[in-house]
Amino acid sequence: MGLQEIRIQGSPVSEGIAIGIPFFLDVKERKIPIFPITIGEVDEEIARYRRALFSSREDLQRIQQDLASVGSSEAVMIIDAHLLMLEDPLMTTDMEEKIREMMQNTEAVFHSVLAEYAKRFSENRDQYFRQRLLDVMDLAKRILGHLSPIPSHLPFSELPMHSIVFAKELVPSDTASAHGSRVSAFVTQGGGGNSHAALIARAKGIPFVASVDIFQLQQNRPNYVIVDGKTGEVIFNPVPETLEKYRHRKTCLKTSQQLLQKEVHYDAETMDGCQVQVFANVGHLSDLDNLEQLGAEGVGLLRTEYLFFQNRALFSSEQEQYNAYLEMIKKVAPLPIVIRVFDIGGDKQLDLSELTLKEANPVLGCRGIRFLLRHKEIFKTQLRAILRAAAHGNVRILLPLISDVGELTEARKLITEVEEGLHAQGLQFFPHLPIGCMIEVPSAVLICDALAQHCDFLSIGTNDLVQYTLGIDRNNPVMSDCCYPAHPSVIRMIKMVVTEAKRYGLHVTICGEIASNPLFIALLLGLGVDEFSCSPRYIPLVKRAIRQTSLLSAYELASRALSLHSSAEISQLLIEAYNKNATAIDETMA
Amino acid sequence: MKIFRKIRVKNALGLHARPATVIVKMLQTTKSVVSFTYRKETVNARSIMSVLMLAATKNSLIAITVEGDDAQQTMDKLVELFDKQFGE
Repeated sequence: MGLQEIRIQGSPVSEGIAIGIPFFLDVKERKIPIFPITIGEVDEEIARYRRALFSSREDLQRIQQDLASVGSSEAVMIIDAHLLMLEDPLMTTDMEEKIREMMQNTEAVFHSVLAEYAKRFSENRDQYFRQRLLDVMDLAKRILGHLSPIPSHLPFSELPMHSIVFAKELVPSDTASAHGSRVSAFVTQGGGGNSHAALIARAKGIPFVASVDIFQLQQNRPNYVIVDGKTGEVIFNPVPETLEKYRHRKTCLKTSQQLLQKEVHYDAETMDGCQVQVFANVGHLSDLDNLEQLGAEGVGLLRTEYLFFQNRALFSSEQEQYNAYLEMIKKVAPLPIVIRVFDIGGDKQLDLSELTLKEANPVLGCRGIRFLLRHKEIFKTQLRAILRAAAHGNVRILLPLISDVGELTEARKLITEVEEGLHAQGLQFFPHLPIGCMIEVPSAVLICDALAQHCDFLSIGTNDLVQYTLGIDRNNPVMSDCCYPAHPSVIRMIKMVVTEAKRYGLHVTICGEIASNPLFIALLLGLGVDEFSCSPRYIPLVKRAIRQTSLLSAYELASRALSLHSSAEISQLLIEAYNKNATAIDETMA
Repeated sequence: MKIFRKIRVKNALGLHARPATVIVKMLQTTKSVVSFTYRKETVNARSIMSVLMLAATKNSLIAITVEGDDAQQTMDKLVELFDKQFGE
């Protein structure tokens, strides 16, 4: 007799059905990944190790301050010893030499070094000295903890096929590093559906269910799990009938996807003949592989910060960046590609401890353009690489988190400086690239007429706009239900931006998650949006939704939505309109 | 300049975490190369883990070698620490 079937309702974050074996992350001891590195990667690997030491130091100093404030001098001394261990040549220069020598990833090297110390400590006859190993191990755990948030060093690449990853929380780098065939689904204890981790999971088409009590589950030691990312249901130890039912559903889902595939090359044209453009949001070179198959008309948003995430070289050299951009630009050409410069900060915390202060409220802190204008060397290096690569394709530059015209003019000034520098060096580049602003904070919406006079196009990032407008943290699981784009304020803001942009003859692209939701397509068309940019896999769906909408009915829908007072009313309206339209289409098809 | 001397560990628990911390911290203010030899094992005295791994208990005899411009001052400070039992 098998184990009992258990069903748990979580909140759905990313659609899809996964059937697989559970893998508990965090809750259980992490497995140390071991893999060889190349000579070229050694310096990066060492730099990564140094950052982990630096972050560990910050942790310890904070803990020490806390301990000192409660007057625990003995504990302060123990932390002192830990701090000295961080500076210990065995932990610093010796480790670095060993990385060079062994040519393996830091974790693997660190682990073997620790094993050696563990052996030496345990050989001591004196019990007191044997116990000091505990201090070393505690510190080692801390350092490893700082190494592991970096994507390629999570054990994801070592997981068995079809693993379903259970974690307390996931950071963007976690989902960014997940490999489709190995990680079938994510289940987390916390985390709202609008986090960047969720966004990446959706972009990758990996089912994701949040708000599930993982600890309780782990006790049950389930052997088989079904995750339904659409309903938010997680089923443990499914009985054969359940398993059969979900296998069937999975097949159906695949079939309907394939059907959609067949019509991808039909134009995105409304029933009454209005042409709409649908672009792709991408973060990696591999995202471009099936862009043409999916019917994308270019790249509407290249998130450059993700491009370098996986190479562990965020601040890669100009040449490295140039090569990466060039490869992408050439692949997309002659279609346009919108390159958004590094959008660092907020919930996309990278390992930048050397550059950024610990912020109490990072979402309201030094992120996007604010970060770049404060780290001009990073910004200029990126701009040089983009401008040079732009000579080989159709490139536009997008600036994230603009909230004041001053930021825009300063960025433009830097771009001119970079152009002059390249010109003086006699390097080939593309001058006067179109420059656009992300509209993602309410201040940018309210001054979009002014911004429109200083830039060449606008792009509305609805995810952040919703968060900043409603004042709701999109990672807060308690509030995730309320962080909904169907709020009257958001609808009105989109209308404002589109109206002002049209007045000054600029194009507006919608590039948040809302652009991939069929419920919103008609409304957005009605508000005057004629460019969408979404995850590649949603493009067929979005194009189909556009083809099923008439502009006339869309205008009516938009004007009704603009007259409504609450998000509940708007949601209701959108669902009704969508169902009515779907029924009408079914009837004409029949 | 290179100087050498032997010194006995007097405090009850030997060269444990606290004395090792005190030694390494003090050495951060000096420039010389300092090594401890105990039971035929020689280690860098600036490495807290190495000092701990010596597992020198009470009454151990440690051979200290100091080499550098400030060797004498460094040695004097070390001797003082050992004598005062690291403030314990």
